[in-house]
Amino acid sequence: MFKLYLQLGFEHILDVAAIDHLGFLLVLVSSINPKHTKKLVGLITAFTIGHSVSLAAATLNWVDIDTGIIESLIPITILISAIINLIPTKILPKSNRLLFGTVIFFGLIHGLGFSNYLSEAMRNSDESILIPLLGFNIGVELAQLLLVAPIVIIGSILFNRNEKFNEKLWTYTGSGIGLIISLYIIFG
Amino acid sequence: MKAFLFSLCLCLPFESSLHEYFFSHTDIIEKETTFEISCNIFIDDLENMFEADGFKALNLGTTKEDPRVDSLLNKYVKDKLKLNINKQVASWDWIGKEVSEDLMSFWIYLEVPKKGKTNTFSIDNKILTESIAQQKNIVNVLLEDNTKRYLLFQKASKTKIIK
Repeated sequence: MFKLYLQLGFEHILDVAAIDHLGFLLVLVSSINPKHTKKLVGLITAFTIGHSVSLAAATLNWVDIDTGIIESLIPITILISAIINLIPTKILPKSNRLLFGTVIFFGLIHGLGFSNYLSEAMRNSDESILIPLLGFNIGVELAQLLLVAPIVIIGSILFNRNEKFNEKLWTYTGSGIGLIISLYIIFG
Repeated sequence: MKAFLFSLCLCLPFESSLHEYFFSHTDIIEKETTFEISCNIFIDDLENMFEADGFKALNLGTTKEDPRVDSLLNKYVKDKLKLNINKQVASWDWIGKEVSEDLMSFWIYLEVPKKGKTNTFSIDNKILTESIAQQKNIVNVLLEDNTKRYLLFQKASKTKIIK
């Protein structure tokens, strides 16, 4: 059973329909220089903690929020993160606290989105929820790392190969693509 | 903050239809003389599938349901859910169907009479996978010798051998 839900979580993130998740990860990763590994790991962990908490809370029925609202909030989280990244640092200075706070909060929203999927998958099954929950979450994490890795690798190569490539360009490219993805989801 | 409010206003009228999830659940339990099968499938997905096949206005799960529905469903499930027990394609008896509590899906009940001890058992589940690309079919199998399997079938899945 663990394996089944691990697979569901993994495939859910790699699914074309989960392009919103890729968009968010892209914006997240592009907000920092790929050389700052520690900060990158920290951010991804913060996001993971956020969505794990709300995934568990929603699946265990501690919270009950309208699916439609959650589904429309998810692209908004990408849009806002992209906009924050695209605002020149002169106007909005980069603050770690703000960044981590937003990431945890947006993680919470994404977790509620996952819980819709997981509860559909568990529909009419009278099994205990803990193992599916754990399997699904680990599946999500593994797929997430698989998506982040190539983005970071491409970023590092660009930084090493090209002197003209700087942090600004990296952030603008990643956030620009993320912005397009979120607009596509909202209006497409 | 302005950007947040602006985008919120933009998005609220659009209930994103990006995530629509497609699942079916099947439980197969081996008892002394039979295999009990209960199969949970979304009614609207079945309705769309039948409609594409030329069966319009079947009114699945309503009081106006077309009398052909049970036999259509039985034929469809027979075609898509294949059990192979002791190297023979298993045939089952249609026990009945009911609408789930939330009125969203059908529970379909089937029964396979057993012919002696179960030595081999394999299963294939193509319910809706040909009409819906993202369809995922979850199957729980519990055999008398306590073999327990949780299986996932989707578009490209092949027959799975349990024993």
